[in-house]
Amino acid sequence: MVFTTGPALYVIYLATTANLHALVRDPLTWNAFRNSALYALYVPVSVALALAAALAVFPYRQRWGGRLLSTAFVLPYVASAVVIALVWQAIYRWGSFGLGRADWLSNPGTALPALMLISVWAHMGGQMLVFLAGLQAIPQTYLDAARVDGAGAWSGFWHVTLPLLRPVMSLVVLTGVVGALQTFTLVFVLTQGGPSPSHATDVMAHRIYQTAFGQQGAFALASALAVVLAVMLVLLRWPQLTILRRQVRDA
Amino acid sequence: MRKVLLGVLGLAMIAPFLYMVSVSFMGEAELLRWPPPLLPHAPTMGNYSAMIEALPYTRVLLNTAILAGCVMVGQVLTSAAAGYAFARLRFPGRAGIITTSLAILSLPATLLLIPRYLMIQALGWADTYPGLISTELVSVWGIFFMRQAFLMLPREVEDAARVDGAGEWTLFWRVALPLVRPAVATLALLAFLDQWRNFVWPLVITRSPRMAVAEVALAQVHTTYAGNWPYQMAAAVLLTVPLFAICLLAQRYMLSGVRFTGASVRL
Repeated sequence: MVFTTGPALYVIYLATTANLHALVRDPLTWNAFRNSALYALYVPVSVALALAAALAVFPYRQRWGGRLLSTAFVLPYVASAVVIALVWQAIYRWGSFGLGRADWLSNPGTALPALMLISVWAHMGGQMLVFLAGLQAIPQTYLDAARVDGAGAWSGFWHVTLPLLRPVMSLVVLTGVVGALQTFTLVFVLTQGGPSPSHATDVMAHRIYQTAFGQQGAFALASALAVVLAVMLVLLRWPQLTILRRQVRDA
Repeated sequence: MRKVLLGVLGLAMIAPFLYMVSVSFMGEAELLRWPPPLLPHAPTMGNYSAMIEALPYTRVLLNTAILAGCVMVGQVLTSAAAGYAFARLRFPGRAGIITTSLAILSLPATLLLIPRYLMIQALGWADTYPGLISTELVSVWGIFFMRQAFLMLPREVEDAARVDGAGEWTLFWRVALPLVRPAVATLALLAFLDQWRNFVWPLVITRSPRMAVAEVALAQVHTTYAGNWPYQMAAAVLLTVPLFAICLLAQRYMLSGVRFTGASVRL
């Protein structure tokens, strides 16, 4: 608690000492917000792919093929962010087609989508495993009952599976968005917010880091940015905390 | 048809890692050819010996193990104690205290980065192990995870021990904790993994190369040997193998943890 409550109060104090006018007038602030929001758009993509993959793997989950696939899906989840960044930079080299052309990461127009593609790949596996566990928790009798009532595969999925997966779904989406808005390592290692001189991949967490630990050394300004980001994240997490509170009360 | 699609998907998950291993055995000149070769023409171990020296590998492993090990033990102890208290002990204002502390503890790391840095700096702990470790010892999700585990224990076991004259501490340490051993293993594993991959905090709080942990050392290799893909991939393999080995050994504990966290990855 010493390293949480204290810093939390301290950062709010620091934020109040910042020159907020300068912050609001700085186009880089708005640029960072915009980039983070755009970047977070990969979350629905990876979640949808993960759900589709989970549904496809589900019938084979007990066989060796299914287990092998689950292991394959775990690898990107386990790998560290810097390793992922380096490997993908090596892969993106292929995008320059040997013509000395800028690859995706060095082109302001494609750098952010290139990072989003890495994120989809990195998140899909773990999310699929969560969905797989969620599917396993659905009693087969529910689906059987639906079939007896004349529901096809599609309407069984739509009216039985999907509603029962909703808690899992909201957990995955929420965790995904909260994580996406705090992305730092990929940007820091691969593009430094650039490709410079553009600020095409300068996301919130990177802007905060650069403001505080870059040449400016502006801790107060960075704190103000961090508080704004934190407020956004807490609001996003509000439903989760409400559920938590209800559970605690009922326990 | 479905099996083919699944196979392709599985391959897409593994292919980048295979490419990483492949490139790590190539000579530097080999990658200048176009198109870049998929497999090494004349495999060499030279990149590995160069990277073991340049990282330096043993020092980086030691630092990472110290960070991950200490945090693992710390998080298990704090999470188990707090989780047990929140699950079992009755005290006035309990629900309020639990939700407030959980709300405070779930503040994003990005928010706490700057004040923690300034605090550790003021304590004179920058660039030391205590500075690296101390802020990471408590984890919200760890507490909540252990609380869930304790809630699932039947009360009768503890009641029986209580009748036999056991105090609260004995109940926790000798009765409840051994019963939730799988949860402890899961938490320990995930805490270890999480810290092995910790990047931002070590990046700001350590400066000297002798304090570098895996991620920081690898990022350093990336800038020092920019463009030398075989070097970078060899270093990445060296620092990934221990991680994958641990996960493989403890795979069954990992899956339950992945589910609980909703698969968050810190990128």
